[in-house]
Amino acid sequence: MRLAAAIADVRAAEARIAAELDAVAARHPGEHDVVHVARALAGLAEANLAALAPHAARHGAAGDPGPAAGDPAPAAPDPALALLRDLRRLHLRYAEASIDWVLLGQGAQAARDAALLDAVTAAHARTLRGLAWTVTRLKEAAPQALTS
Amino acid sequence: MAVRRVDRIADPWGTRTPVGPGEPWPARVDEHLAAGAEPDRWVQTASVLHSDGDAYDVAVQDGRIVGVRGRAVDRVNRGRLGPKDLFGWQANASADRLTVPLLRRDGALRPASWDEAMGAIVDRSRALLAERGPGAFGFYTSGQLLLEEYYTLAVIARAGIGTNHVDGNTRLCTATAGEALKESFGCDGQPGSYDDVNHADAIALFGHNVAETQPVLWARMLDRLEGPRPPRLLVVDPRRTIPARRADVHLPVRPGTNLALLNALLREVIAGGWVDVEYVVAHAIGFDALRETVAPCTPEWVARICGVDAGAIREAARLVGTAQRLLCTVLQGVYQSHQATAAACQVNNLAILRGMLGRPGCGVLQMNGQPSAQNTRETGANGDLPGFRNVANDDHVADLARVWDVDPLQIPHYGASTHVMQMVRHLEQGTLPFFWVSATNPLVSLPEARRIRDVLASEDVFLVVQDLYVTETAAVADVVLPAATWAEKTGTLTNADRTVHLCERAVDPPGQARSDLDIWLDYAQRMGFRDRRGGPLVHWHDPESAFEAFRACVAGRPCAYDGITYARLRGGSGLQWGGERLYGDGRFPTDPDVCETYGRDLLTGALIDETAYRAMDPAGRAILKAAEYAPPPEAPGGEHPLRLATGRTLFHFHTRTKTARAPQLQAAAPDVWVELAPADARRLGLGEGDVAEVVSPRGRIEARVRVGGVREGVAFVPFHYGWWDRPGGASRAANELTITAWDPVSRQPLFKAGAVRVTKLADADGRAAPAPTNTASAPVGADLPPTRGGPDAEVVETGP
Repeated sequence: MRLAAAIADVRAAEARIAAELDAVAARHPGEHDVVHVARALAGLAEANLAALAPHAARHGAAGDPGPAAGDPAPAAPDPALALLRDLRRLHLRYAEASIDWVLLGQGAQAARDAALLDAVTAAHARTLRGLAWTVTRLKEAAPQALTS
Repeated sequence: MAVRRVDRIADPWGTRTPVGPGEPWPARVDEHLAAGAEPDRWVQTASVLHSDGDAYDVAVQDGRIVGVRGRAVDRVNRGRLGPKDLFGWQANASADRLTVPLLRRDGALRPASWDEAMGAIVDRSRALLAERGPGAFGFYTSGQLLLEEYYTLAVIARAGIGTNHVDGNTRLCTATAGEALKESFGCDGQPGSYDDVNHADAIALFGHNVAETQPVLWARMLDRLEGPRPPRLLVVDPRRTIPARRADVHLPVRPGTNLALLNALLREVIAGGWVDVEYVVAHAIGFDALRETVAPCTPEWVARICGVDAGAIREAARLVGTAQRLLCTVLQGVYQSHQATAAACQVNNLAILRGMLGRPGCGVLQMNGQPSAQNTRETGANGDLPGFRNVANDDHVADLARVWDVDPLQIPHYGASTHVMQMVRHLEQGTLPFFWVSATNPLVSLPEARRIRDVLASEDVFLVVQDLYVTETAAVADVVLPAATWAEKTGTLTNADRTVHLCERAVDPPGQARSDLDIWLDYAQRMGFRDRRGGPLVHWHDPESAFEAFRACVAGRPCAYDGITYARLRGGSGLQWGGERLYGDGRFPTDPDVCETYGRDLLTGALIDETAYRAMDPAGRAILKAAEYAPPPEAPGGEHPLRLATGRTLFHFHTRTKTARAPQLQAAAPDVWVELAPADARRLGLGEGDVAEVVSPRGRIEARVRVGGVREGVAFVPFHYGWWDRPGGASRAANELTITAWDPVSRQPLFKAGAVRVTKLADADGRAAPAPTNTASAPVGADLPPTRGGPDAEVVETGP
């Protein structure tokens, strides 16, 4: 079974999201809503990792990936564009995790692992909330950043 | 009829007229005249110093206001008035009213002509439109102007300039009410009616200190409580408010934990078998997800979060679960707290689960904080499009463009309007060089005052302020426009239960002051805004023609003002749009083609897109939106062990621009104070009247201590006090302390969050805190002289 590999992928992706949320919040202290929502979303990422932990052990996935490092700050000429680029990359991190959940869900279904499938379904829904938030926040920020 | 003279500072709610369930509320006419006044006429008006919408007449003698008298005929107050209406009118004649425009020259504000002032604004507007485009313009208005003014501003900003940066200070008071109604029912619009108070057998006040925010509504509740078969009363409030003293169950929750409490109440209502299953099946969606979300929220778990007794939570659930006619009301204790919209939605959910909507006594009142907050939402002067149109629905935008006869692309609709805290960010980043503030005082009222001062006083911002006086904000403006106020202009305003009232011009404004409507009509004319056919975009010229233009704009929408005209508003009672109650048929405006929003994730604010919304297939059913509790930001601890809560109090409104200029109101609460629980005060070595320093990570104030009925661990500071009448003194604005954070859905700032420490600076020296003794601020353990108004506060009450 290669579910262990898929589990490792999704854990790494969620850990990267958590790290990236911290990094983005730290780089944009003046974007107060980003700081506060990032905290709530980090909670969802942690919930996802926790939900997966028993299944990781069961399927022999490598131990806890531990905290990941956030990406380095993207180059940008001003803070408004820097925010766009940071949120854009966070969006891609969420997209990556989302597709990893899809893959793991397909594997769980094929393996008839109902408990894993339930965990994946719930966790994927949480990841999609983060993905949706990045779209919302990017759409909010873009008009002023791109025309001012 | 009995006639009584009552000191209405000492007895703010007046004489009781008890009523039983279903009985009409008897009239009691309150009248206050200046000494020796002999009015030569009375002119119809309504309240502008709170959101209750009390109707009254202004007494005029020799061209001056000399008093007020409640209108017995009106459905809202049946003649009663609160202290701010009885005494606040005196501020109109204050000697320091602005009478000429002011223009900043050589660093100082100097008198100018209207031509010079408007010319400066128009020159800057033209230059910025050419160089920077419409995104350079921000408009920040009020909750205290009139419908006609808001609508005109909305058209100018959204279609004339074409900016999305339009908001009102209603963001601070009522944004959550509107968002919660949209999330649950598809569209804004108050479901309930004040008349529900007269029919309810249970009333639940969630973060709603009604005795101080809407005194006449509390008088209505008191008359039920003191009549036969009174309703049971639940109060959720960290302070021992006047309603809390009368409650059957009082839950003094920790600030920021409302959602946890409400989830527990819903869990218990479901577990107790108190759900109206037939109603929910026919008229709601989302029950399974809601049940799953609240299932883990046991009273014991929530009791630890909220700091209240699990047994009391169960008792509260039984109270709301077994009521036959349940009225729920919500205000700032929820709206200005953490997870505001999520919590307000759970109150809607409670009403939906119990089938308590659209019938006498069964209602939800998501209250407003200001007299015309409702109108900012209807006209598009805050974050919404006019007529409750959905900014994400291209057909709605096209329809609005048809009404205004402009290209739909001229109206920015790439997203929700920019809320004021985001405008502050744009100001801070230099991308919003033009900012026009009307009838509000952000330097004192927005969170983290030091930051706001830095941003608005910046030389990079062209700041226009129109107001009655040189407020703290006007003092740093580039142009100050003298505005006419209530009773000096004509227009309408709509209260929290959808009652529309007409305010007539009773006297002339002072000097060259002009109504906000006239100022904006002049701006539109000078800017030459045109529609597609080349005609004037703003094609009205006075209040009544503006009202008719608005009526045409909202025709066919859920807030249609059908049949409401100036002619019908004159003489009789105010009129409700939508009828006495909404949703009596169990049909809600959630249809995707009708709804005002497709909704947001209550935890993050992420938008739900049209496809996902359609997939929910709401089909005219209410939406039970669930959310999980998350801890509030900046937990108290370490150097800042107390949770801060700021708030409004009975005798003042906002930043006291008017109420400080009414002697009876000013004397009743002349200066800032900080309220502490007896246990906290003891621990800190503080007693009644001691001078203390209140410090947060963002700033500090000095205030005398009131040892009072606030829950342990919380410091309450009233938000009214700025520095205009205390030049050179230390700041006493509560917002020196507050945190910059807002609800992700309604974007309402969290004024009841953040952590502080309180330390003693000096002994009381025989003085008490300058706080009233007859409100939530009543002292505990100290025998103080009671708050009195004296002969100048005597009001004639004529009633049963």
